[in-house]
Amino acid sequence: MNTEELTAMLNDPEMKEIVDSFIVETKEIIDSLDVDLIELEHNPDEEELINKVFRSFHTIKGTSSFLNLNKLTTITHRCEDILNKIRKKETKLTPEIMDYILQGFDKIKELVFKIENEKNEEVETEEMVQKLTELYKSLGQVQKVEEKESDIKARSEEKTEIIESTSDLLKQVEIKAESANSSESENKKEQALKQTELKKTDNTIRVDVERLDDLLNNVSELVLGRNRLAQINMEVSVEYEGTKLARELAETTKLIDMMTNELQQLVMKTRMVKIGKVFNKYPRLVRDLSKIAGKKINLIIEGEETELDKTLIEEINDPLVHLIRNSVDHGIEKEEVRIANGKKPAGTIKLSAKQEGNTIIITIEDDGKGIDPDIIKNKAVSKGLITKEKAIELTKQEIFNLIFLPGFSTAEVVTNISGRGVGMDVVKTNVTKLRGTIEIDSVPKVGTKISIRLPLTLAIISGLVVKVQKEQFVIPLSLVIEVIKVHKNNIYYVNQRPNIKLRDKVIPIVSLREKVLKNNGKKNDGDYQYVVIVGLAEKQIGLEVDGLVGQKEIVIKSLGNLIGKIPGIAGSSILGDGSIILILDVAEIINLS
Amino acid sequence: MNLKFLVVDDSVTMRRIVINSLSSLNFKSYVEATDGNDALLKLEEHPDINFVITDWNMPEMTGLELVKAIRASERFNHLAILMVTTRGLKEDIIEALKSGVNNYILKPFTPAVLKEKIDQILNSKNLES
Repeated sequence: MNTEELTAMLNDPEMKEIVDSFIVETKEIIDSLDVDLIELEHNPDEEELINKVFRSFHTIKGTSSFLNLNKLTTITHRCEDILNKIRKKETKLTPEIMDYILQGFDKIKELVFKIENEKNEEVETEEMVQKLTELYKSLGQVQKVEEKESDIKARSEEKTEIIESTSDLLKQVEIKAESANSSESENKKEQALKQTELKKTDNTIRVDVERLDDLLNNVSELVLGRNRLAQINMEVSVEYEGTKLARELAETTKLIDMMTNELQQLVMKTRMVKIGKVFNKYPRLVRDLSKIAGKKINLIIEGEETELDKTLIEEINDPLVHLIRNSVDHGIEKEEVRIANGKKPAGTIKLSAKQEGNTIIITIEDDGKGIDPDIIKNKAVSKGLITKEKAIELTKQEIFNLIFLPGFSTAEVVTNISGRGVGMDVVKTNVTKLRGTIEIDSVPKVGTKISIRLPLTLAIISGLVVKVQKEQFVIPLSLVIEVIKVHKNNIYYVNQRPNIKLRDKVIPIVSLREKVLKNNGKKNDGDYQYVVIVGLAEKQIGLEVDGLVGQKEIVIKSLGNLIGKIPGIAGSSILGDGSIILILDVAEIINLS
Repeated sequence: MNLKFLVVDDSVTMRRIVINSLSSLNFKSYVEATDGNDALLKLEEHPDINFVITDWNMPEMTGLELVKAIRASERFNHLAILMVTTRGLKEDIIEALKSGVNNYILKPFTPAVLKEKIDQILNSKNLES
């Protein structure tokens, strides 16, 4: 079958069901192999594991052969052959053998990607197949597990041959088997039937992500409708107080409110994916990176069961890969250095995830050389990112935050591993885009810990609605620390910038009227000023507002392409009374100040 | 004769392939199971199953163990069993036959070969029902 024929077959509507199923299943197998292969390298004698890995390759080989995916069949077959020798304990699993299998596995991934996206097998595999074949041969003379797959025709003929030659055998066996079967079999039957009782039936179905997106969108609209209804109910209850109509509307509104909340929760839950899906790719990453860097590194993963919205899962991978690369490349020291410093020869990177309220916290912790605040400070000064005077005032946390500034990179030498021209500023930007925060904590010679906080979902947030002039804005509630009312005499100016003193802490304040409304409208001239204290990582600032409206569930909508990006604004939403409200981008406002 | 198949494979794709092949041969009645344990459960639930097509290599309970369990059971030992495998080794085939499979078929197969195998089993077995 040539390429065109293969593509035509894979696109054939009659084959669609099988091809789709094949791709989904094979990708799942690949995901679990990502973890299993690395684990197998650490525990080469674990029988369950080697069987599972063997079976994984075996399944891909079997199913791909039906789809005429000859390259995929051949390369999985070669890997399977080698694994079979290990499984049968005819050879030991050495790191060298594992290298070959992993390289073969990479080719398999490449092929599956091609098959999924371009419906062909245009990947160079011959060299790899050759390498695997030679390795297999070098592993001692053992009978070939299977027939050559070079000619599928020949195979089916071979089958019939074996059947014919074994049909006599079959008769003999039947007689023997009948006599041997009776007594011990009773036990086995009981056992088998007991086992079946324990087995739970599989109750999952696969749903297209697009449908879930649509569902979420519709629920978001429903939330908006619910808010509108609540507003009308309020108005009616004032105007028609005590009437049957008002009472009934109030009851119905309450019911709809409750059901909408529940529906919203449920839809959120259906979109949740275990973070293990992302984490599981990292053992391989760390293995390969540490080999290149010539370091010994153990990766510990915790909390892979933690669930996160699917969109977040997809977006968080790149930042995490970057941080892991950093840890391998710049964090963990070379073995000699570690030993000289009285550390364990092998470094450790710990990746963990946990849920705390409405946020997910992902941490990457290494026991490497840590970051020296003084070096960071000097570097930032020498690169002109901050002034010498400012550098002296900075707290430790603020110094570490300098790492996230564009144009900052601590690596003395750009290495193959993390020198991809992407700095920590990009990581920070990506995390902020997900409305998350990132912070660094480090102790020189002990290690570095990077924590990323992400919201559970992107679509709906709880917000504090505030008033500035006639405009209303939403501040994400997760960032609000407290709201205070300050007398104007208690606002102090330092370098012409307003500050307030709150429980012995000086907090800079920002006027939303100035920053977001660009000084439009009149300044509030009462004696008191509302200030909303918001916090992002270690940084706290106060936002001057004219009034507080209340807490609301806000469905986030983007501003759309027509309006584009407005500094300080993260998005928009529609309120219960149908008016449009803007959502403040607190991170950006802090940066603007 | 009315045949009702039990298709046992841990790979959903393989089950689709087998079922599609069966459909193209006009066998439309089937039940699926994901491994040996599941298969025994499905046999309990569907007493009208009379033909088992099972994979060899499965987690939990392998095809071979399933075959042994079926042959050991009074209620099910009459079932026709076809083993789907990629193993071409004579010893393995003998082991499968010893354990009680009626015939075996090697991956990848065409619907025609599947038909041939089913017919061979039925002819030699005079399956009742």
